Amino acid sequence: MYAIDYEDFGTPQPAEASGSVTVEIDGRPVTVPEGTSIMRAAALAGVKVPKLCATDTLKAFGSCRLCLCEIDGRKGYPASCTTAVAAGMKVRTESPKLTQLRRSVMELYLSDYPIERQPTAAEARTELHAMAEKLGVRSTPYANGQRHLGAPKDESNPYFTFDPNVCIVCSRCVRACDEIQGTFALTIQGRGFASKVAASQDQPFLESECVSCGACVEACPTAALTEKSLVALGPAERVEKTTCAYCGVGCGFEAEVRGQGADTEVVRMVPDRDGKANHGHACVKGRFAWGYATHPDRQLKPMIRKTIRDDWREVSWQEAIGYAASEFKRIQARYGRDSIGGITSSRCTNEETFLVQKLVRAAFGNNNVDTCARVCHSPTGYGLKNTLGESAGTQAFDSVMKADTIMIIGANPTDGHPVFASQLKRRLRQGAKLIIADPREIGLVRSPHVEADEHLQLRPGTNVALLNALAHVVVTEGLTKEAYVAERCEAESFAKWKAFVAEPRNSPEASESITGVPAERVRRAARLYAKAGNAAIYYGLGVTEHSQGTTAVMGIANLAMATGNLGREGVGVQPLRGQNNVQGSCDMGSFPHEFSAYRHVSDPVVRKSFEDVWGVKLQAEPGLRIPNMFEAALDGSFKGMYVQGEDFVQSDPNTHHVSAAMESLECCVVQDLFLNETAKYAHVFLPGSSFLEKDGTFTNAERRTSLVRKIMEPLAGYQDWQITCLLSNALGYPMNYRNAGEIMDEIARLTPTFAGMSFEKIERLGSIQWPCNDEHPEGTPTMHVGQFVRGKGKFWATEYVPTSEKVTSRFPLILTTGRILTQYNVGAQTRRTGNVVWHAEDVLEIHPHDAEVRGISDGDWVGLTSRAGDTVLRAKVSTRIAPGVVYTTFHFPETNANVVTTENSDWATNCPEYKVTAVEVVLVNQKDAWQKRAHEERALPRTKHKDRTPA
Amino acid sequence: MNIDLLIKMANEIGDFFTGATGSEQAARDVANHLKRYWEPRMRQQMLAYYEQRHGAGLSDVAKNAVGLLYAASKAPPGGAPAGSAAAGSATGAKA
Ligand code: SF4
Ligand code: SF4
Ligand code: FES
Repeated sequence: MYAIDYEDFGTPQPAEASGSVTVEIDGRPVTVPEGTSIMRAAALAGVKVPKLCATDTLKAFGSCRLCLCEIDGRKGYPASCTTAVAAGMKVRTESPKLTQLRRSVMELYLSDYPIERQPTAAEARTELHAMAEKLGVRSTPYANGQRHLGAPKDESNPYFTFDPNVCIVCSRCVRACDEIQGTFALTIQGRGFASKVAASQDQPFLESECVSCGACVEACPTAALTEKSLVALGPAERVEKTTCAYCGVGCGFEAEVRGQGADTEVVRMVPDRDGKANHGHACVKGRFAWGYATHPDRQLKPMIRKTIRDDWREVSWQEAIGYAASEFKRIQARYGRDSIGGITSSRCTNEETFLVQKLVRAAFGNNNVDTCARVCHSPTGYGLKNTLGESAGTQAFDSVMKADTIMIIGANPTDGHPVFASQLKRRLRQGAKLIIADPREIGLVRSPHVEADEHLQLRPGTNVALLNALAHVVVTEGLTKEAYVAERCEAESFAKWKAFVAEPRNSPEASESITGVPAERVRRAARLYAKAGNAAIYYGLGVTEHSQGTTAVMGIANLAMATGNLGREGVGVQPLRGQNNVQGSCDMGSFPHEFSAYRHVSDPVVRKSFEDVWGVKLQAEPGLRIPNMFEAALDGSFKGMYVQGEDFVQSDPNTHHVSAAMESLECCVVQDLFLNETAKYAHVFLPGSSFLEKDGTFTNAERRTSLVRKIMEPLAGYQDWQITCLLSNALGYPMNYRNAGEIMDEIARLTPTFAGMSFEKIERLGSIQWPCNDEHPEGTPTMHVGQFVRGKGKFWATEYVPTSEKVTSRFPLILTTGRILTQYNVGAQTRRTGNVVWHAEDVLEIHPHDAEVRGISDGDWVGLTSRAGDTVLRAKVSTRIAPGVVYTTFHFPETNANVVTTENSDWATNCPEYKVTAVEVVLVNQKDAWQKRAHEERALPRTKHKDRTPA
Repeated sequence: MNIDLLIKMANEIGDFFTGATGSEQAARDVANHLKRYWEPRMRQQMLAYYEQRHGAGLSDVAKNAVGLLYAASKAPPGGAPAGSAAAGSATGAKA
């Protein structure tokens, strides 16, 4: 069922129309693009043609025959959804004959539908009921015929039900699954009367290939597919636009809500058709998994405690803030100005992030601010800045629709960036070529109607060697775009790079023993990339989370520049950012060495601009990064921390080391929705607000800034930015914003790439891709057009340096980590939703060969040990992973995969090397001592009195 | 802080720049990188270590880089800042 305010035009806008035509529909003239259907033209002229099988998100199908029309000079009654307009056409959509035909069609449809019974609230609002009503059909003469009534309802999916009794087999769900989602999970089984919708091999939805994106549920014109929340809560009363708070796709949503004030409830989240990142599509997380926002685990009152061994004590906001401020002041007085710092979160808004770094720089008086992007895409910032000149992806998502060859390196879009993956698959089905470089056989390597042309299954940790080998082929086979490079790049660095990659040691043949990828395959992939008209690279954490993460990012930029694949649609270098606001949190100056828009703190002109607005003297030296903070904590020079919305005790590598550092802090202030793993080491807990409870903006992976809107009052009383203001004021540095929009105004004043932004403008345009300034007042979808931001593009010779993390006889396997569709990062949100039915624990994927020699079978408990630590989880024997490599996710604190990851990190940015850890796997029969201890710790009392009323 | 870790980090930065710009320029680039990205107490600890242990465990490039920073720290105020020769390159103003 559509969003309650949605106007359906029946068929999609024609792809690329060359001209326009004028037609007359029911006497109303209308001019539309060539190729437009009569149905759409009618809708544009304000005439609603009855329909059932058509909807404007799907190609016209022409099966229900409800949309018949009459055309002057033509015989018969063509379907208006499948008939295109022609110049001068005169169409009638209403006549006694048409009504009679439509009524008979409707009666036939209703012959297998329980029209006589009182509809449920959800049923009453469906298109089928609306059409029957419009046609005045309230019963059917065929009611006594054979019917499907009595078939069992499929309630297996946690979020929606499928009731075959009210299914009219219009195929809209099947087409949605194929065309929009690209999963091909549904089919119409059988023929004629026996035909029915089936998931996979006629299985319950939960057991089928369905990924629960909900596209079919939205497309269904009856209540056959219905959200459970809609049934439970009843229809919504109004719609509020907002932005998803999960991944870096940043889907636009319409939150359908009911109730007012404190009683406001979300009924459904419906992806926004006008959302420029998602065009009306969404995934299981954004559409369905928002229940965490009101989960009973949320801690709604501030709490303090003297030591981390004490019980928490619930206190007033005033007391909590006062205590935090006095502790920070005491620590600074005793240990010095630089002994405290703050962490911003990529889950929070731009405004909140901006304020936390402002608090650190202006109120703490140092630059000890960092963000969780440290552990994911910091190498992207450094690598792209030093090659192209800007720390961001170069394209809009839509650009992929013009790519001829798509190379995906170290990313798993179907799981990590599902809505973008659906778009990508659409392009692949149109014939684009696909190269995947990944140690694991990710979903896109082989899925319905998509198959990678080349899968370069490299050994973890050898990206740079592979990129050099690809570049070697490009250079030695004369595939560089010399004119492009001559015009746009530094000649000297290009010549150096060319000579470097052309060296025989960088050839695919020479690097085969390093990467494990057959040389011929590398050669084919390089040609496919370099010879395509438009070739685009998408990459993820499989590139960045390595000791050579930055080098690999530079290697990617080198390849793209050398082949002329930057600066227009269809090409580019696009990091797939993990969290909703990773791009934004980096843009906002969350790194210890730079202000917003990536300007170094040592730049006196930039610093002065901030000093003038903030009214304080700022430091010119870089501050501590997160891992440096841990080190400084261990040596006693770092004692206090303000952590907004991050859980690094679970997410950061080498948990034991992090825990030891955290234990040595004298004051840790955690601001979060939940008492997360980091809160175990906190002295002050400040209850944060969910994305439904705040105003602000998120910036997605394509630099698109969209509004997040306060849909309900903050459950604990304050939006996160307000809490930062309270703390700052208590520290004696005044922050007095009346609303989040005023913070954006300050961001715009101080940040050249955001200079033209304001809440009002974002609202008006829907969303804006930065840079947004005088030159590009409506934003910039494609970067580096005509010229690189840096001026001339700079090539870097990217020497492959093997990681120091090596397999040994003691640790003979390489562990690499990743994430899956239904869970999100540390899982704090998704673990508190119905999504656990798909993934209730982290498992270890292991190749059958490695499993066999260790006596491990599918489902066994196995111990996973590295030099950093050990944990226990279940094995999943799988050929998706190559021999010698094992793989797991890090969504559950019970497993805490990061107990085993090490302190190794990227040379330039200290981004941890999550993707390569030497491990051993053994069969065990019980959970290990560490996990038992972790469980016991979790069981400790946290609060003495806990109720749901905010302070 | 853990000096072994700082040494490892400096060496890895050295490895990159050695490959990218050749060992002579690399020392300046590494020095510049440490200036721009290392918090002062990390640098100070490295300089103290350099003074006491002559940079044992550092690669040649990393040692030269720390040497540049060390010399600059001993230079009278107003002298040329360390790594200034690298300005505009590697991690220079545009970085
Ligand atoms: S929820 Fe999505 S994946 Fe599942 S059947 Fe429907 S359209 Fe297909
Ligand atoms: S794809 Fe990402 S942004 Fe879109 S709904 Fe899913 S989690 Fe949210
Ligand atoms: S709406 Fe046109 S045939 Fe169904």
